[in-house]
Amino acid sequence: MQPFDYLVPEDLAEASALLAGGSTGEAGSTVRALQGGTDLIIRARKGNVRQACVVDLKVLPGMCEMRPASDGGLVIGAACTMNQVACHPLVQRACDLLAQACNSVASYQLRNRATLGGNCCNASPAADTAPAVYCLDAVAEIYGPAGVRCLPIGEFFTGPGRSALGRGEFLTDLILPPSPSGARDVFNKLGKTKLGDISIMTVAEYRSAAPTGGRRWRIALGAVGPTPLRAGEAEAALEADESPAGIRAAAELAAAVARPISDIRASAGYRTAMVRVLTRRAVEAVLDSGAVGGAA
Amino acid sequence: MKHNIHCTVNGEPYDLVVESHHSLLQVLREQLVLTGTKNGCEAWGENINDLDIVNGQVISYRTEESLPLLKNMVVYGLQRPDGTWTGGPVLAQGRFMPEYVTPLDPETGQGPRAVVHFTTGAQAVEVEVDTETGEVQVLKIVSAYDVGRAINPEMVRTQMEGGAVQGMSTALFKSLILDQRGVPRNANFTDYRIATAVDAPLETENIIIEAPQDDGPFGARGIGEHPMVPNRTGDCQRDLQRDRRAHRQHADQQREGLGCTAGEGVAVSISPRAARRTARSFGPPGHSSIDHRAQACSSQNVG
Repeated sequence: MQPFDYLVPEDLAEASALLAGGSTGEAGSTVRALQGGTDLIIRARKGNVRQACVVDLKVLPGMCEMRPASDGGLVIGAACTMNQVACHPLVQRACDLLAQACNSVASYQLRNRATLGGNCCNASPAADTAPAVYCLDAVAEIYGPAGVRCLPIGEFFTGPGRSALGRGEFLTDLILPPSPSGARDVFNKLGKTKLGDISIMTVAEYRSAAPTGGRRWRIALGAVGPTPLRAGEAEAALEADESPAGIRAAAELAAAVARPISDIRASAGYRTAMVRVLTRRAVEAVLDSGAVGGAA
Repeated sequence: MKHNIHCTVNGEPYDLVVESHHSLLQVLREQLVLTGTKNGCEAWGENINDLDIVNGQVISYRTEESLPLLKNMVVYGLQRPDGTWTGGPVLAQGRFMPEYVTPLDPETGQGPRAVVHFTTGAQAVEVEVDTETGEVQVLKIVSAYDVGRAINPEMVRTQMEGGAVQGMSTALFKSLILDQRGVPRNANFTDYRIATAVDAPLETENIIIEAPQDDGPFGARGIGEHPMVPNRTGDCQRDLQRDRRAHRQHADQQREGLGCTAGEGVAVSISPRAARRTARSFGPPGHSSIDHRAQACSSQNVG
């Protein structure tokens, strides 16, 4: 591994200034942001990343903390570990699909190290937590030279390995909106082996009462496109019809959204077919998991 | 004080430097590592040619008395009539080298005795298949092998179990993927998946058969690599990779992963159509996407 300087910033502004010193996010850049390091160190060791210095962001205040938001939502510091998130009672109570997604990543030991923010910033199309936070309508809070800005997580992911982070910017928090009581959610992952495999595909689903009456569905897909995808038409179809026929129609609509590639894990055709199957099963699991306020 | 001694033992000449207080037994056992040398006859005042072991007792043909063999003898040696000990712990070394194995004919690839032994065995596998995703849950693997003589039966059973799981892993998960230039695309354990504890069969049963191999040590024959052979897939996957639509291919590969090899190393694959005929539905009504079938296969292979 190429030697590098390990830099510990005093505060957010210094971290931003250090990151702005190199062109982050592009191949051949010389300054890298470090959170858990479970991707960065492996890629650096392989020589895929040539870093002259690494800026440790997890030491910054609040980066490793989870706290309730004033509106009843949840603020998750970007450097919170997968295990920290998965074990948190507020996550388990209000948005268990995020706990399920975190728990599906690699091994327990690695989840002590890997961070939710790092997983998102790394922007792998197969990142397990990306469809989870997308399904939960999370907001990314970003610190940069121009100060703090907030971005819907759907706009955060811009392509394989690419995010909306600009020069000198880094993710500080993921903000989850409040979850109405009675909401139900599920995360389904398909890997070759039962534990720890990189996803062939994933689906996250969330059902809650709509403020106007009726119900609201959210469906996000992972590893079947350059970024996590939302299946908007499938969501609308389920909001109109939760019968077996409606579920089948929604699964077809979700499969139509998928734009997978063929790789060593699976063919594009298999991935699309599995979107159909796992979307349907996730809907059935959500509906089986209990009555929801505003349900038909 | 030390002495230089020249001696001949078992026809071999030796030049030794010997401590003056060492006994002949110590020199033989410790300097020449002839650890089979014992002092037992001295303790009992017997000539070794008069002694025999019958039904766990040492008997003397001279006095017609018997002496019990005690466990302590293994550690302490033999006790003299006055209560002192002699002989020390039982230590021995041995080897098994099958010197009769013949080379292979370069033309035919065969030889009159090309292997140490043939080990024969059989496995039966019961699987549950998710016919929508192709995921396979192995419910049970039963293995039975003729090991000749199980010198350490518990180790033989764990070897059978480990081999069965490894064979299952090969059938279901392991696959080396090459690019067009022949370079592996999954040359790491992130991408080259193997079964872990959670992927293992829910149940295994391992049956030891003991028909002694006449020229094996204690009648034993090998059980090293054999247990992973029968449920390995190989040819089954290759058959299935032909003319399958893309997504079905993956599901079918997994579904048919547990193929079998049968006697004399002939690979047998079961076609998906035939497999579906033999499938029985399993589980509560409404879970029709789960197929359940059992399949038996046997192997005879060499070690």
